[in-house]
Amino acid sequence: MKGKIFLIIVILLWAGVLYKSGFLSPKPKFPLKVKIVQARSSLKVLDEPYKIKRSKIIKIDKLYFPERNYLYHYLYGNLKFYKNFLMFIETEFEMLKSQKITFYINSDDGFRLKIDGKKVCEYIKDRPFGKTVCDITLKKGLHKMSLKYFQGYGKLGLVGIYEINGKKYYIGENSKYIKFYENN
Amino acid sequence: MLQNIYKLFISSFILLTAGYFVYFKNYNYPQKPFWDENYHIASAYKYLNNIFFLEPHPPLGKLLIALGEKILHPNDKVNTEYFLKTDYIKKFPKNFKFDGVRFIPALAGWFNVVLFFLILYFLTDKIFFSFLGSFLYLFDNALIVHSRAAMLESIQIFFILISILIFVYMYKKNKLTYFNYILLGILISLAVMVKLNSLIIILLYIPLIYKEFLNKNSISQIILKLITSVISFLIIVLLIFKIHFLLTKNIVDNRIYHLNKNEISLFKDNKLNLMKEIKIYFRYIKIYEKGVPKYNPCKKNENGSLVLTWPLMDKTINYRWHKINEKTQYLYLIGNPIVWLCGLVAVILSLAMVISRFVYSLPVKKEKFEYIFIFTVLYVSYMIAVLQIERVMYLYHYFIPLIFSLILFNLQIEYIFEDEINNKDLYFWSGYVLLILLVIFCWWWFSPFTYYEYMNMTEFNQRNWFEFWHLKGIY
Repeated sequence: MKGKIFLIIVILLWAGVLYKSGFLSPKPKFPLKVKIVQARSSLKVLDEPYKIKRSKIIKIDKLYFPERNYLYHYLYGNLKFYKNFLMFIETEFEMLKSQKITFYINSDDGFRLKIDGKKVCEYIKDRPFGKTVCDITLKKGLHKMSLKYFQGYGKLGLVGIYEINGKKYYIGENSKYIKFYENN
Repeated sequence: MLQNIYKLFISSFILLTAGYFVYFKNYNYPQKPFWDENYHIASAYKYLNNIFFLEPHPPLGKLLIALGEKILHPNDKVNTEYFLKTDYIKKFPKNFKFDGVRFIPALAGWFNVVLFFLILYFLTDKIFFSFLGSFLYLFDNALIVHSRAAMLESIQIFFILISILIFVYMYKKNKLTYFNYILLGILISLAVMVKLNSLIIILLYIPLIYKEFLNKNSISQIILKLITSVISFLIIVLLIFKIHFLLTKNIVDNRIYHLNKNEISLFKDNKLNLMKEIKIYFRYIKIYEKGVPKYNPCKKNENGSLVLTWPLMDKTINYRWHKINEKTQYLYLIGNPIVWLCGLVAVILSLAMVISRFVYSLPVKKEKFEYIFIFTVLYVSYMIAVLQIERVMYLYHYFIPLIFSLILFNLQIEYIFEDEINNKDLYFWSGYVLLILLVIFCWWWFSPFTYYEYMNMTEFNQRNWFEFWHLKGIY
């Protein structure tokens, strides 16, 4: 009996390791593609014209850049962007059934969220870390999400959350309502 | 008996062959320094050129690093004069080769595999079981990284493992001779002379004394044996310090390491006696330690970590990286998570067992429990001791208790599944072989961090299992 239990534990351990390593996971682990662009001049509103000084592309699992003096993601640490930069975040997701979804976008400074090319919500000026809430009803099936964000100066941060049926998840996190797919 | 020796030989040979590929092959790669190599290579070169220096670690490890350089001498034509005028080599000459300085640590790391196997065999008397159990040491990525570097840990572990091996041999014997005690004293002393935290294995004397009492030996005889052991310990300490000071006779660049004027004059005239020299060494450690920072979690890029979180591998250290286009090479201090998990589980089970034995009088298999008790006490004592240290500590300071925990894991498995092991239970053995395969799989999965291989960000993130590891990708 003890031998059987031991074997089961080891098999579960194998499953855990394969899952963590991405072998058993049916969905991609880092569905959000983030392009970070450093502008040459200062940015005061979201759509201010700019020239690119440098840019970086990273992939992340969830939209969580906490409020700091520098751009930080736990997967990457300090990303070394401090002021006058933009982020272009793209992903694809599947609604497993048609329903209403609420987005909570906490940002410092502004942002614009689009789904399938249509604006869902925005805050185009600079602000301290603040929340914008917006609702949309989406049909079952695949959708494209894009989010443009800008940071002028001072503190910064961007945290995106979605809520369905009273349950909240970070944008990028799968739930029983939404599956995110890797965006190439 | 003969068949057993044959099996032991074959098992050791297989482990050594595997160990060659895991620990020794291409040990000189990358030909770039990382972590404390910048300090230890500077020290080794001072030995090779008879330049005076003091450094907080005892001399033996650095002497052996210097020995490797002396044997292979790959840098005869490289200008290394600058190494003699600094304690930390900021920039290595372009054509500097690390083959020599990493030779002895890599060799020690490699041979440790067999020592670990022999310890398990001495403890369990089961060859195949011990053979598989030694894969936990063989495939731990953190131990491998440090063994393939001009650092002290693999040499330290080498002497610790031999000390444990001799201890187990002694503990099993009925009559302990003076020679046994002298040998143990010498081996413990060698370990301590590499790194002072090896002092924890001095606790191995306690079960031996207990055993002597059980054998009804007279107190005077026991004390005499202990004194013999202590004397052999001290002789080695004095001898190694003597070698250190004999090899470091010249002061350059007025690098006097806090010697006062009187001491400098005595030093130059060769009139400092050994005791005075050792006193100077310990005084230097005291001054040096005052300058070592404390752990500061708020510090940007803090590499130090909290003692109590080490068993969870918190926190890993990025020793070196190099980025080309979308891919980055990493040399990371990160262990094999399955190996560390086995160690942690073993410690939890052992603590539960020891507490239950003494608090609830849990009936136990006596001889097996004794070893579990001994290694649990060693583990706990080490952790309590390092908790008292105020300076910043790093994850590799967990290597010694990790070794104890891996021994405990094998003891626990043997204890829990004794019948299944002896009856060749198919389920147990399938599970155990699968576990060892998982250890090998995880070693391979995390090997890019160990062997400085390229990964893109996705590959990096696939290995970033837990936030508390603090792995940080270079993008």
